[in-house]
Amino acid sequence: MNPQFYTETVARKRPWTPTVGDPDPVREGSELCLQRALACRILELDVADWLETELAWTPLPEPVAAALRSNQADEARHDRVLNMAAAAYGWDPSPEDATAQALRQEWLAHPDPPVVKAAVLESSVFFVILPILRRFGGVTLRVISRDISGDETAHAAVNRQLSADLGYTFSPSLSRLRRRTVEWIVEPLRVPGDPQGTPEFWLDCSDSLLERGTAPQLRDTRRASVLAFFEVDNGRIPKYR
Amino acid sequence: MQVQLLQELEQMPWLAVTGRVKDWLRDPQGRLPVSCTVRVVKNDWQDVLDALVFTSYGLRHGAGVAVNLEEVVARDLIPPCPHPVRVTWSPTVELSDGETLVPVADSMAESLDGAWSIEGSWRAVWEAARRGPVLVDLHRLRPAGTVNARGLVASGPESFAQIYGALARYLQRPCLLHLLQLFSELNGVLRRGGTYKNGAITVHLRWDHPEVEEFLDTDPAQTPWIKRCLTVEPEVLGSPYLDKILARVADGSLWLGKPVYDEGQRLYLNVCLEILLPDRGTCLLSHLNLGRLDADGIPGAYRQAMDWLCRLHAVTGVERDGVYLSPRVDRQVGLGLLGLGSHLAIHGIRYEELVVALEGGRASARARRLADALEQGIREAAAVARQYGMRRAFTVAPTASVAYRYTDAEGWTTTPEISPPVSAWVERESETFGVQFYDHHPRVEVAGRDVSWRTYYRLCCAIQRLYNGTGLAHAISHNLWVPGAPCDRQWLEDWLRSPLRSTYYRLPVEQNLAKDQIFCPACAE
Repeated sequence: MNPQFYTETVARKRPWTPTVGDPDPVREGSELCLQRALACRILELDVADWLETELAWTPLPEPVAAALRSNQADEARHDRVLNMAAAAYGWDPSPEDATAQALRQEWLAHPDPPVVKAAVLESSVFFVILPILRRFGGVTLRVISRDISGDETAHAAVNRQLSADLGYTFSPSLSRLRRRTVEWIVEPLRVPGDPQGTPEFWLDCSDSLLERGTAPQLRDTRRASVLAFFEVDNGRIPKYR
Repeated sequence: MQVQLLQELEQMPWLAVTGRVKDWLRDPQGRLPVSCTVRVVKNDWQDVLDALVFTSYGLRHGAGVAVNLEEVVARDLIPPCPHPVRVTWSPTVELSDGETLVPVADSMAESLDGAWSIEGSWRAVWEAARRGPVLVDLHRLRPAGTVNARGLVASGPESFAQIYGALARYLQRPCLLHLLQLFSELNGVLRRGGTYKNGAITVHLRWDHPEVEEFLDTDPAQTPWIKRCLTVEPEVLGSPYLDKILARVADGSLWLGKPVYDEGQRLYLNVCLEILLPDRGTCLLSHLNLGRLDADGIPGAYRQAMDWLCRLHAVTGVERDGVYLSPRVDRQVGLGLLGLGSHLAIHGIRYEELVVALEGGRASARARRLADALEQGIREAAAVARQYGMRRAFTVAPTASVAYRYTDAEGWTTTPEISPPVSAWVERESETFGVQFYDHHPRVEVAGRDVSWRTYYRLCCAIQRLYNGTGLAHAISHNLWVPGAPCDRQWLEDWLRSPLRSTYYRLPVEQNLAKDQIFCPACAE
C-alpha cells in the first residue's frame, strides 16, 4: 500500500459550493434518462456509509483513512447538490424513485466488501451518470456534473486502488447488478442525431470502465469547461473558494 | 475609408477583430455597433432613470454597459411610494378607483398613439406612483416571439412586466438590492428578445460606499444578469467588511478595480474591466494574434495594427445618435493580445522563461527575443498612437469568443488573451450559444498543470508595466485562478501594490473532469 498515492489523489480535488440554478432545458430525448440518473442520487450517502464500514473493519494507514474521510465528506455534498437539482427540476419525488430505491436495496444487500461496492459504483455507474448529465443537461446540470466530477475522479481512483491493495475483487454478481443499474438509467435514452444518444453507448462505457478501467469513447470528457460567464445566469455559475 | 480598412484587414491575418467590426466594415451602414460603454450615474433619481434608458439603449444595440453607482445612495434617492403599481397585458382590464393608467406602446423608444414608449414609460410610472395607484397597460406589446418588419423578435408583455415589477419594488422600497434588480431585470428581459442579444452589465461601487455591505451581501442569484465590481484603494485593508470582500472575490461573485485618473479626470473601468473610459466613452478593441506571428514580425505588426485601429477610431461614427462620446473627445483605442499560449507552444518557449525575460532576468535566447519584440512593438505602437492623439491604447481583454474564431500558424484554435488555456481541449459553454468544442495546439502549456498561478500573475504585471511605461495603458482583465490565487489579505496587499488595475473571473483550473479512465497518478496528464 502506497500512502502517497492516496494523499496525492485527494489533493487533486478542488473545494466547491453546491450551486443549482433555475432548471434550464435539457436535450430532447434525454429527459427520462436524466430523471433516473438523478433518482440514483440516493446511493451517494450509501457510499459514505460503506467507507465508514471499511474504516471500522480494516486498520488503515492514516493517509488512507484521511482520504476515505475526505471522500465521505464529499458524498454528503454530492447528495445535497443532487437533491437541490432534483427539487429544481420537479423530480423530487419522482415516479422513478421506487425503482431506484429497489436497486439501492440490492446494492445494500450485496455481500461484496463495502469498498469494492464503492469502487464499482463510483467507477462504472457514477462515471457514466456524470458524463450523461454533462452531455445532455442544460447549464444547471452540466455545472453540477463538473463540480462532482472533480471529486469522483479521486474517489474512483482511491476506492479502486484500496480494493486492489486489500486484495479484493468484485464478484460477477456485483458486475451484473452494476449493469442492471446502468441499463435502467439509460434505457429510455433516445437523442436523435447524437452518437452518444443511445443506451448501448453508455452500457459499453460502463462495461469498459469496470473491466479495463478505461472508456476511450468518453475521451471528450477530458475537455476543460470554459463558462461564458456573461451568457449564463449568475444563479448557475459555480462558486469556489 | 471603410473599404480601405477592410482591404488592409484582409492583409493582416494576425489581427483579430470582433465580428461586429468586420461586419460593419463589410457593410458600413450607420455607425459602428458599440461593444461596451460606461455610464456614471449621479446621486439623483432623474439621472438614475436616464441611466436606465441609456443602459436599455446600449443593450438593445448589443453593447455591454458598465453602470457606475459609486455616487448613488439607492436608499436615499426617493421617498418610498406608498401606492401600488399593477401591470396588465389584458386589453380588457378595468381601472380601479383612483388608478392612473400608463399605456405603453409596442416600441422601446417611440411614443405611439398616445401610449408611452417602453423606455419613456418608466419615468411616467414613477411620476404617477407618487400621486396614487398605477396601472401599467402592456397589451399593445407584441406577444413573445413575434417578429416585426425590422426582423426584431419580441420578448412579449409578460417578459417586460418583470421590468415594471422590479421598478415598482424599488419605488415602494428604495434600496440598493432593488436598484440592482431593476438593472438585472432589464438585461434579463432584453437579452431574451431578438435572436442575437448578448448584453452585459457590470455595476461598480466603491469599497467605502454607504451601501457596500448590502452590495456584498446580495446573492448573485438575486441579480442574475449583472456582474459586480468594487472600486478599491489601499485603505480597503482597514475596511470592516474586508473579510466579506475577500470571500466574495474568492467565490467569484465580486471583481475588483482601482480608480485611475488621466490628468485629474477620473476614468472608469468598462464591463470586462480592461478598458478605462470617461462617462459615455466606448470601447474599440482589436488584438494581435501572437499565434500567427513570430518574434521578428511582432514590432511591425504592432505598428501596423495600431495605425489601422486609430484610423478606424476616427470613422466609427459612434457619436451620431447623440448617446456616446465622440471619438474626437474619447481619445482611446484598445489594442490587445491573444494567442500567447499558442505562440509559446509553436516556438517552444515556456511561460516561465518569457516571464523571466520580461522581468530582465537570464532567459533562453528565444524567450529573450520574444520579450524584446513585445517591448519594441509596444514602444513603437505607442508612438503611432500618440501621433493620433490617443490617451490610452494598450490592453489585454478577455478574448475567448474572438480567440476561438481564429487559428494559430499551425491551424489550431488560438488560445485566449495572454493566459495559458485551462486545457488543450476545451468546451465553451453558453446559455445563448450552447456548447462549442475547441482544440488548441497540442503542445500548449496548461494553466495550473504547467504554469503556476504565480507565473501568470508575474506575466500580467510585466505586461502591464510595459503598457504603463508608454503612458497609454488601459488595464488587463486579470483572471484569478482556483486553485492558485489565494484571495486572502496578503494576496490583496500584493495586488494593491502591483501595477495591475483590475481582477476578473475566478477561473477554475486543473478541472480533472476526464471520465474515460480511472485516474492513475503514473499516467496522469
